[in-house]
Amino acid sequence: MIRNNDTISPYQLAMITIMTIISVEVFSLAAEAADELGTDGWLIIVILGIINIFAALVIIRLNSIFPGKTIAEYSQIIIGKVPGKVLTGLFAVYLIIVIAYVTRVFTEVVKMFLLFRTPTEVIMLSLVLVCTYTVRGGVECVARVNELVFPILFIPFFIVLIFGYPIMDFSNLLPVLQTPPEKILASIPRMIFSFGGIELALYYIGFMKEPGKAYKPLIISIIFILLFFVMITVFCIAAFGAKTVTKIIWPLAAYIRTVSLPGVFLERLDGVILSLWVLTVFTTIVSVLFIASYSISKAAGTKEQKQYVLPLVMIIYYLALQPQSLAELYEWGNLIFPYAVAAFMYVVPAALLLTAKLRKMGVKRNESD
Amino acid sequence: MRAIKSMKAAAILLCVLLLTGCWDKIEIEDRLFVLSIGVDSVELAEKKASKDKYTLSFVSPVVDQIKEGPGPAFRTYKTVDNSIIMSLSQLLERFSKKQFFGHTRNIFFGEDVLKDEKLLKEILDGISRYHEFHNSMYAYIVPGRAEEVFKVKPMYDKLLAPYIAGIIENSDYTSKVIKLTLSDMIIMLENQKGGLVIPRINPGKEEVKISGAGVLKDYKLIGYLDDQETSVYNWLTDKAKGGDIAVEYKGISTVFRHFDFDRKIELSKVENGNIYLNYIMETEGSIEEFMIGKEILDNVLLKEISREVEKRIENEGEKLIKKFQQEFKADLIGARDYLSKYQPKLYKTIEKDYEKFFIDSIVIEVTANVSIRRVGLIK
Repeated sequence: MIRNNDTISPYQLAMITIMTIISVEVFSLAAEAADELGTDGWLIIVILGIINIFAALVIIRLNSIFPGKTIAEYSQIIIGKVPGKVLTGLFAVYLIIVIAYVTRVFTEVVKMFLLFRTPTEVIMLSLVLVCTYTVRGGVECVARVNELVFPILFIPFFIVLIFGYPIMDFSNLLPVLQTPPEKILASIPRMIFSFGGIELALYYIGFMKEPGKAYKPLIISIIFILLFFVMITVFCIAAFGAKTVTKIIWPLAAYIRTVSLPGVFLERLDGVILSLWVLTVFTTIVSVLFIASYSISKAAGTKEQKQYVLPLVMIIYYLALQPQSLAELYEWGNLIFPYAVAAFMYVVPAALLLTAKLRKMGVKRNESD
Repeated sequence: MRAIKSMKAAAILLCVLLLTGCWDKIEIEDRLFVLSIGVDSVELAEKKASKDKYTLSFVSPVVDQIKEGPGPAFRTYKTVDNSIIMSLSQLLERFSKKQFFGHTRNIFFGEDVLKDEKLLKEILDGISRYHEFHNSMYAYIVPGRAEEVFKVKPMYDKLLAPYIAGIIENSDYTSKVIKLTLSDMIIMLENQKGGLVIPRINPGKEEVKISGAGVLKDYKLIGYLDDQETSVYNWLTDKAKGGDIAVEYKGISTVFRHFDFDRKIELSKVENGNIYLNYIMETEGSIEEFMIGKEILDNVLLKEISREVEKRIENEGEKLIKKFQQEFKADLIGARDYLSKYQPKLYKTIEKDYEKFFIDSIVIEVTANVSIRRVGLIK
């Protein structure tokens, strides 16, 4: 099924996971976390990260039963041909909505901070069309783009974040752990989307030669994301205080705007960082779009995924323009994603794994070995 | 074959012509770099329409005059309108350049704006919502009208904005100047529910002086701190760094200079429904002036002088705390901050009626701990 040159290395898997999960929500994450739990906002991210490590373990376990196969293929083995195809189709629909959402948020942020007069359509299309070009190159191309962008993005990002030190007051994080546990539990479903993207490992592990090698990169990448998110939340709350953070739509953007490198030789870094941040959105869309087109090709039973990419762009473009305003966009996102992400990240892998175990499918691995 | 090739080439060239473009390009010559903004409520004589609320003044440098030119190096553009955004578009209607706020250093609020809760809330929202403003500019209150500041012709500087911003940056060396950026101001107003201490700037003819501070409560100006009180305010809120404290010792005036000033708060006890807080001030520095013919390099003497400095800090601190408790009736000295951060359980019991509790039942004591390390170059 998978051609010989269509494999990815464990390192590339980690890069794909990191770059997919980190996307538009980094800018609003601190506001959402502080809104839920005030000064304990970082706690919810730690809890979600730990939950997601277990989710990742389930996903890898499931994939190692069927080495060399993605969920689009083995779901047809586990639950039958037609239900498997339906599941794959649903997956594709969900991913397309994710891309549309990410594209729209991206456009809104860029229009707010960088390109005021550039038409929305131009910003969207130029982004999605570049992604199309990459996605048509196949899984290797997607993996390499992720691998390439990672250092370009994170090194400057970390430098700028650290230079915000003078405006931070860490006593703003006090009091620690004063939130009642039931409030923490209640906030988990609302924050799930921030880690959305791990479910793509259901596919990408299938492109690895040995699924058993996926444990290390996947867990390390989740821990990396966890630390990165905690850092952003802590820095934003320290800089503005938990009360003010909740009033800002994109606290990280506001944080970067207040940072100036010492000696005044570099001020106003927001333009630079926002243009770099375009890259994280780009990689997110690339890895999701690839899986979306791949799922459709599997559901339709075709060999290649290339031909589906361009038509998908039109659907994405149409969907992305549907919300009338930023408020409506966020409303829709909060309505759809908690359920969709929970379903595809936790319920589907767990259910499939259980069914496979009950039907004693682990035996098949010995045959293929 | 050839035809197809040339068609392809033509298509690519067409792409270059048709698909390139930049909607957001503004040439640097077309930009009007705004360095300072002044906000006033409108004067009756200037009112053009009944809706007008604000007078905004924008100061921008005149590039060819900065170095050698005989003329003034900056110009003031004044607008009268009913909101900050409308004022900005009014500038576009009246002048050829497009204003740019990336380098704005100062924002001056006239006294009238800060006396009117609604005006202030509107203007603050306008400023924090508008993406072009960077919140790192410094904020000031001007007794009288903000536009007065722009009439100052600085004696030794060509430009006004860097001159004033430079004074604010001296706050590392003198505790009598409060450094307040716009983002600090917005955060403080949010956290203190409308309470704020904002540096006051007094425009003169050829210079300005940062002197004292305005005190706001519930988004309204309720009074001023004088120079000395500003310094004490900086001590109490742990914002002071460098500075000088003058004391008398046996009829000789002497100066204690510090480069660091630390404030810690401790909860000493909770008794009969009262909360006793202890503000511990710690500082170290040198003696800068004494009297020729008298040796000061003497441990016992230095201990005594440091005791004098401590007494001064304690007295002044307690005096200002009284002022905040009884005159302003507003907790802007960090007691609430401390209680909510370090004593959350205790704070929860008094959160509801905190203001009344602060006035009646919080007893604050100041303990200073001064170490004199050096005495200068002569004994």
